[in-house]
Amino acid sequence: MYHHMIAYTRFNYSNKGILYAKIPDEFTPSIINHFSAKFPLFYIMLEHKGKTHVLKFGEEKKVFYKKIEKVLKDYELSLPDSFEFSTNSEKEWSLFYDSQYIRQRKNTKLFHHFIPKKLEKLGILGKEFERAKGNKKITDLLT
Amino acid sequence: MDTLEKIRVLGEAGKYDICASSSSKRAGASNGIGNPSAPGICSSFTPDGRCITLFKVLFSNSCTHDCKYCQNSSSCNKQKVMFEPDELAKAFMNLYVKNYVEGFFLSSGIIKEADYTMDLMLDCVRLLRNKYLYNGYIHLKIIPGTSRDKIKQASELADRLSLNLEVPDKSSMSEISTVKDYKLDLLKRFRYMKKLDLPSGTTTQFVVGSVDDTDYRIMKRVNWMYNNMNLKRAYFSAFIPIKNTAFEGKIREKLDREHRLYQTDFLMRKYGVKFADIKKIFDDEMIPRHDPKVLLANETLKEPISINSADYNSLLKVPGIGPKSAMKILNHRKSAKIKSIDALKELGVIVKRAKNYIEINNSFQSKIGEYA
Repeated sequence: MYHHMIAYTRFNYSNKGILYAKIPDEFTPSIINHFSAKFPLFYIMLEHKGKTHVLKFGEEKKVFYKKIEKVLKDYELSLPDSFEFSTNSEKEWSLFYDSQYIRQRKNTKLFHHFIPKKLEKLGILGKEFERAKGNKKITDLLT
Repeated sequence: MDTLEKIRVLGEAGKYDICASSSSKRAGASNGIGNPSAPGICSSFTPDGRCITLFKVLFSNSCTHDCKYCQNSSSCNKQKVMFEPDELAKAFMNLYVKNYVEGFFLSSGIIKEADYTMDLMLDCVRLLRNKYLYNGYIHLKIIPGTSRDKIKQASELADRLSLNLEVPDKSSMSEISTVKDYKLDLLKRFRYMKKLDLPSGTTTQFVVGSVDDTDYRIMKRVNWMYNNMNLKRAYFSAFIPIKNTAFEGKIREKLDREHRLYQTDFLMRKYGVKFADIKKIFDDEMIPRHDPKVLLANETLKEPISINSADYNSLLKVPGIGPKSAMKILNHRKSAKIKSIDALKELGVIVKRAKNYIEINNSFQSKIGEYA
């Protein structure tokens, strides 16, 4: 699950240098370490069921028993501006994702092999899989 | 055309290029964005079962070359699109920081000439490294014919460089392109690359079945590249005819052939099997439709291998025993003999595949049930 979570967690970005996301599955504390090492310039915020973990590389991890939106607001007030990135990531990703599919190589068995049903149920895999399925249920696609 | 539309067009234009997930021995820095040393993370999968790890696009789909299988060929009638270096760097960073992708893969059609195109690609990569402090994985394609100086510059910025050979030799190249010179544009560039210190090495790709290449010729070239060009690995892509290309009417290559080539390549690359042995499995210069390791074992293992006395290389010849399980067997033997099939299973051996080629305590596997 750790491996899936570090691959499928999608962040939102605040231009105060904060990457934040809600984790639908049971929170794995170690994934925050992975992300803070990967993005040492940014604060990483992860929320699971009202509990928000915050970590910046080289600093101590903090835990807040409140929603991520509130914690984010507090941090944004005290931090300087950082990089600016587009807010259109979802659209950008969906166009890129769709562009990579080679229809002649369609292989539902392999597709199924790589998509744990648990992740789909949790909604972690996001909209790209809905598109991949052509808006069908996954069971329709795999039959 | 806006950036989003360019991503769609140039992502599609680059989808036949193959690359593995990011991994590099280059250490991450604590003052940048990204980390190149986390291999095997697939951020998504397409319905063809391939993982999406890298943001893989072409810088431009405009090309002066006329490769007959290629959708970006100069002879194809298509909309020409090109990124601006900063536009592409921004688009990639936007996806990278939000954890949609694990790294960057950049290739291109040839705009005007090789060095001109390479310069534009390098501008983009420099922006990533210097302006956006990107410290993650970059796989950069070398354009055929690129000068030694530009290749050196690329090696200082990227983790991996690659250049597609597409076919095994000069004669095949003449069937797919009237422009590309196999020795001058491709092999000579590999000679430049082999002297460079690249964290993730160099790779190449073959389009299998676009012309009448045999598996033997392809693997012979791959072996030569491993031995002489310090190649890290080779990729194989079964030919798919694409509309509006000169090869549109050709028959598509079976994926099974691509799979057999990967298996054979794996034997050479990971199992250390010499090409002289690999040669034994070819049938009329093609790999038969069976697992090459089984074919090789049938050719070379005349006697069952003794699990308790065989050396590492002999163990590796047995189907069902890989490098990890072979090491486990050797380590286990330091303290005790292997006396049962169950013990082998625990060491990671796929007994079902191995049973016809091994013996335990001087008993041949045909009596395998007796060990249980």
